[in-house]
Amino acid sequence: MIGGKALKDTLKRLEAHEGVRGVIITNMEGLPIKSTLGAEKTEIIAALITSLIGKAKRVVDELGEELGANFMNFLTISTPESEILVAPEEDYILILLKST
Amino acid sequence: MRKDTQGRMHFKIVFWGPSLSGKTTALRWIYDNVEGLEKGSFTSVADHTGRTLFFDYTPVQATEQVVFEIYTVAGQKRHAGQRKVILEGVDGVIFVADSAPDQMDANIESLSELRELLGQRLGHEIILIVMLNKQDLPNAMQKDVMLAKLGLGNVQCFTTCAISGENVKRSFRQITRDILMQHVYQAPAKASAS
Amino acid sequence: MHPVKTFDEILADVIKSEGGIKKCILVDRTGLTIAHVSKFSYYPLDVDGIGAIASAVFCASEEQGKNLDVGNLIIVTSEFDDGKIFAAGAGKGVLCVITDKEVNLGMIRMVMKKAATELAKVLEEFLSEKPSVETGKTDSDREELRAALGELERG
Ligand SMILES: Nc1nc2c(ncn2[C@@H]2O[C@H](COP(=O)(O)OP(=O)(O)O)[C@@H](O)[C@H]2O)c(=O)[nH]1
Ligand SMILES: [Mg+2]
Repeated sequence: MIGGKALKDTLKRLEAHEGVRGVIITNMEGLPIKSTLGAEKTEIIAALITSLIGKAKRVVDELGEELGANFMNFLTISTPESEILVAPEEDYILILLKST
Repeated sequence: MRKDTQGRMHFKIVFWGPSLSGKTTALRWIYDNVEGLEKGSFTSVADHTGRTLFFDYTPVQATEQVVFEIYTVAGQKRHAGQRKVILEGVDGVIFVADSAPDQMDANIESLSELRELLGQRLGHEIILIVMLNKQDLPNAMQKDVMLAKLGLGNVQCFTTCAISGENVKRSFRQITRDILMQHVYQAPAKASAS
Repeated sequence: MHPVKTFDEILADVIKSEGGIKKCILVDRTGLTIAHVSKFSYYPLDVDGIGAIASAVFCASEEQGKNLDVGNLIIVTSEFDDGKIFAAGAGKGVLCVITDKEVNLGMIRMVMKKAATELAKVLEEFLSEKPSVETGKTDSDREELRAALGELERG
């Protein structure tokens, strides 16, 4: 588990990037640990994205042979206006909301 | 009375009384011995000695459309909060008093708690039946003496032994009958106008 | 409108919303099970007893909250070795969800809160249809009650 200080620093660093509207870090159960957004919005985004990560992991698992690896680095959801970048780490999930 | 989505009518009966007066034993006896009625399973939240921590519960079906949901409460003082929860939506109460003389204060206290929670409705909209339990004890108190001490005058009362089942079925029949009668003969009101 | 369908529909939506949900039960605050939906129809459970405990546990927690002055109770989570049970207040009822051990807590919370709001509305309607029943029974209700009396005399 990454420490509180490291977490805060990561959050700050990411938030400073251009176009970043919010950063959320959740645990593996889909509950937010840290966030730069409001509580309600954070809960909803964390729930939906981590649920999606669960499914994406299953895809990678099943298609391991096809993909040449059985683990996932990154998930990107992009719309014409914005992007959601998700990095599933060992014991937490990092979610970044960005305008493009 | 509550109706479920299938239109079945549900009536709630609660066994109330001080700790160890025989509520669980009485409900068990009904569950094991009353025949001809469809029963669900017996749910019990109790400690390892069988002492009720929260409640016992079993549904008893009289017909397809009429179900009695029967509960007992935990009698110990510290469970007052739980008792209040179980009383929600009750249609009839069987007050189980302990006939041992040294339990009279506990009986009185338990009945006054019940009166406080249900107020004027007790004995009116909410049917009250009294079981003077453990009448098999050699030193069991007499019916008149107990009722006088409890301040109960005109109440339907049975002297029982929950272990042997003496008068337990009669108490159960009486409360279910009274509850149904009350609903059958309730004055038809506004409903017909609409 | 038939509330029957609506309750079941809302509960079915909850089950479908996330993997790992095995069963949803809606109970009222007297412990009566109003509706329930399972992922597998053979899921063996004594629903009435489960509902009675779910309602009582939630209401007792609520009582505790009042004693401790910590505001309204939103959700009760019970974690077991092999599964989880959640209970959320839904107006005059309690929504109870039974899941596998590994579930997305965030998702469950979100889905339950949303469903609880919907259920609260439908329940309000469903229960408010009853004053007419409380004060004046329909003829068929009376017939049923008489039949029940007959059953009891025989039993
Ligand atoms: N002698 C006698 N003992 C009884 C009677 N009913 C219950 N008991 C006993 O009293 C104890 C407490 O009974 P229980 O049903 O658990 O009491 P509850 O706390 O009211 O549920 C048990 O040991 C029972 O066997 C009765 O009618 N006569
Ligand atoms: Mg007991």
